[in-house]
Formats: sequence, structure tokens, C-alpha cells
Amino acid sequence: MNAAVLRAERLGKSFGAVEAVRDATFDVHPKAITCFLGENGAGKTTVLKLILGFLRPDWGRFSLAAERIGYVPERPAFFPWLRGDQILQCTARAFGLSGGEADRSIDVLCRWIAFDRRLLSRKPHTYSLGNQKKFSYLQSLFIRPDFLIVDEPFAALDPVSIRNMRALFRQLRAQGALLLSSHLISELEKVGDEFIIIKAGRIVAQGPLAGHPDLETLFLHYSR
Amino acid sequence: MPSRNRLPLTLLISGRKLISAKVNVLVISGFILLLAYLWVEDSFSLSFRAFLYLCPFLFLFFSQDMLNDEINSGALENVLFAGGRFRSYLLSKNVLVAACALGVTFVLFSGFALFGLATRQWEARIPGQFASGLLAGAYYLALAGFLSFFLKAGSNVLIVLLGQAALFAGLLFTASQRIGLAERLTASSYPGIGAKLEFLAVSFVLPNIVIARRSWLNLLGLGAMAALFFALQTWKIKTLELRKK
Repeated sequence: MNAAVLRAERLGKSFGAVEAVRDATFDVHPKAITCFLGENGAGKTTVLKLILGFLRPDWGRFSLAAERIGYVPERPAFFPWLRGDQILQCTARAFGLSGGEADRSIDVLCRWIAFDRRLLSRKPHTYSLGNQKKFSYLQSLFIRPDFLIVDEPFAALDPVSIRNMRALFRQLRAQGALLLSSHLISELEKVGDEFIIIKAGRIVAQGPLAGHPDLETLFLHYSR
Repeated sequence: MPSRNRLPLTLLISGRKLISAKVNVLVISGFILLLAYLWVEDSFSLSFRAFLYLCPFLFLFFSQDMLNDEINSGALENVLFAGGRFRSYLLSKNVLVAACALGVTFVLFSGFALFGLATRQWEARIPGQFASGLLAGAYYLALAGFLSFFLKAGSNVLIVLLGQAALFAGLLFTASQRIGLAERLTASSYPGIGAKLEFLAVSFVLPNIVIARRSWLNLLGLGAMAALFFALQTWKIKTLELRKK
């Protein structure tokens, strides 16, 4: 197995008296799709926010071997005064993409995720929920991430878009690592290579999916 | 993201917010119309004085809705701000707001100054008054920015204006009872440390007052309070976590 893209060691986070994450130790490997599973409120989003630096861990540490990290939140939100193209312009500027390079990239990505490019002249909060999610994918893929983190990857997407996303994840796997957090097990097991299961803030199981009967059985076994 | 890319990012994001905020456009155009009206109806001198006393409000109005809504909207949970970069973005907002307010203020001041010099209506006290106005503006920026951690939308500006309205109402009542503060403000006489501190407290609510009644105690006091509010903002941002959505 290659060296980990992400290595978390005994991560912990409390909100007041609530211990949201405790002793979370896990690895995410390159060229693999890692499924991050847990029940509602198990601590999945908190772990993602710790990794992304939106929260500070109270204990433990993590190391990232990725230069460009993409992130698609469960419910993406955008500055309401910026249009889609302006947000991409900010992203291009922030990550040092040239104008022509960025424009070509937008064309390719819009086709890839079936996003109507004309929507970019509007503000994202006026898009449908599905298109907001797709725009968030567009923004994250635009930076050519070597590590893509997605919270609820299939939320708000129609069946055709879900199928497109599965194909997209398989293509991205060749370029870097993916960490997909969800409780939609049936969709995750179609693309996943590895799994991490979190229960009540603790990592209870992790490893490659190969050799296990199916993700649902695995999840139900560890969630008991 | 390289650090050199952070300020242009703030400029792109917050610059567009400042431009697209209707209240900012209204404030600038209303301010210019007021100055033009005073110039045409009365004199250049009155218009220039009105500019000097009112220009700190540009800093206050530009500071509306600085932090709270952005922090709680979820928009900072974005690839642009991963790795804790939302903190440097929020920290650099003060610089951008100050630069915008300074830009507008300097353009207007230059116009007045050139006309004043050309028509020999320039007075030696004007640079000192202008500098005091900029200090009052910096105080507004620091205070309103700090308040915007706790107050939504433009209520950080509203609460400052309400405080000033309450101060005026208080002064009106005390003036009729002759208890002193209003008289001292009018006469610009502050005998004893108690009266000086009283004036200093008034200038924390209405910092524009230091433009007319400058004293080292007031200027230093206002500067210290501005530095304190900037320090509190910095501390709040450096310890900030994006918990809510």
C-alpha cells in the first residue's frame, strides 16, 4: 500500500460537554476511494471539518500529503453577491490558474458533470439544490485536487447525475485520493475501495473492501 | 494556496460585496449630494467642514455586515478557505474596508484641498482635523468590525448610530437641567480630570467630536480603544472555528 495521503492520529473534538470525536486514528490512501461511513450524528462531518481546518482538534494530530484539497460539502453555500463565474474566477486566482487554462477547464468539467455552463452567469443560491451541489463539484474539480473530500456525494442529485458522479469518481481515483462520507451505502459500495466506519465519534473499523461480503453487512455489523 | 494570493482573493470577494451593497452606493452618493448642496446653497467653507466632520461615517457604513453573516452562512466552508485560510481572509477584510473608505475620503479631500488652496480658503488647522477624522474612522472600523461578530447584517452599524442618538437625547435633557456636560462640550472647557474623562467617554460614542475638540488625551484614548477593538477582532478570528451552518 502507498504512503497515506491523510494520516489521522487520535483526533478528538468536543463541543462543550459533547465529545463529538474521540481517538480517531485512520489513514486515507492514494489511488483509492475511501468510504467514510457512520450513522447520523456519528461524527463524520466533524472529522471532515477537522481535516479541512474549519475546526481545530482538541487532541491528536493529522498529516496531509496532498497539495490541493478539494471539498464538496453536504449543502454547499456561496457568497450571495457573487455569480458562479466570479466564484470560479476567485478560485482560479487563488490557485494560480491562468485565464485560458481556467476557461478550457470549465468547459471540460461542465460536460463531465452535466452542468449547464450558462448557469455560471447567475448567482449559485438561485440554482436548484442539485445544481448547487454540481457547482460545488465544479469548483473543487477546477483546482485539480490530488485529494477530494465529499460530504454526502449523492445528496440532491438525480439518478443520471449519480451515475455520472460514480464514473467521475472512478476517473479521479487514477489521479489521487477520494474520501466520500455518506450513509448511502448502496451507492458507496459501487465505487469504494476502502472503508472507515465511525460510531459515536470513534473509528470502529477500517480497511480494504475486498474480501468483505458487502458494505451494508459490514456497516451493520460494526454499528450494532 | 500561496500567501501572495490571499489579498487579491479578499479584494475579489469583499471588493465585489462593497460595490454591490446598495447601502454603500446610497451613502456615497447621498454624502456627495449633501456636500454639493451645502456648497451651492451656502459656501465652500461649510461644505468642507461638513466633509471633515462626517467623513468618519464612511468607515462606519463600509463596515456594515462585516463578519457575522459570512461566518454563519456556510460560505467559508469552501475549498478557497480550507486549511484555516478563512482566518487570513477575515483578517484582511479590515484592510480592504479601510482602503476603500480611505480611497473615497482621499478623493473628496483632494478635491476640497485643491479648490481651497487655489481660492486661498485653506486653513492651517485642516490637516490636523482631517487626520483626527481618519483616526475617528479607524475607531469606527475597529468598533463596528468587533460588533459584527455578535450582530447580524447591518445591525453593528445601527447599534452605533442608536448609541449616538441616545447620547444626543441625553445631552438635550441634561442641557435643560444645566448639569454641565452639554455646557462644557459647547464651551470646549473641561476643568479637572473628571470632565476630561467624561469628554473621552463621549468621544467613544461619537468619535467625530475629536475633529472639533482635539486634545492629546482624547486622541490617545481613541487610538488606544481602536487598537483594543482591532486586537479583540484579531483574537476572535484567530480562535474562530466554523461550527454552525
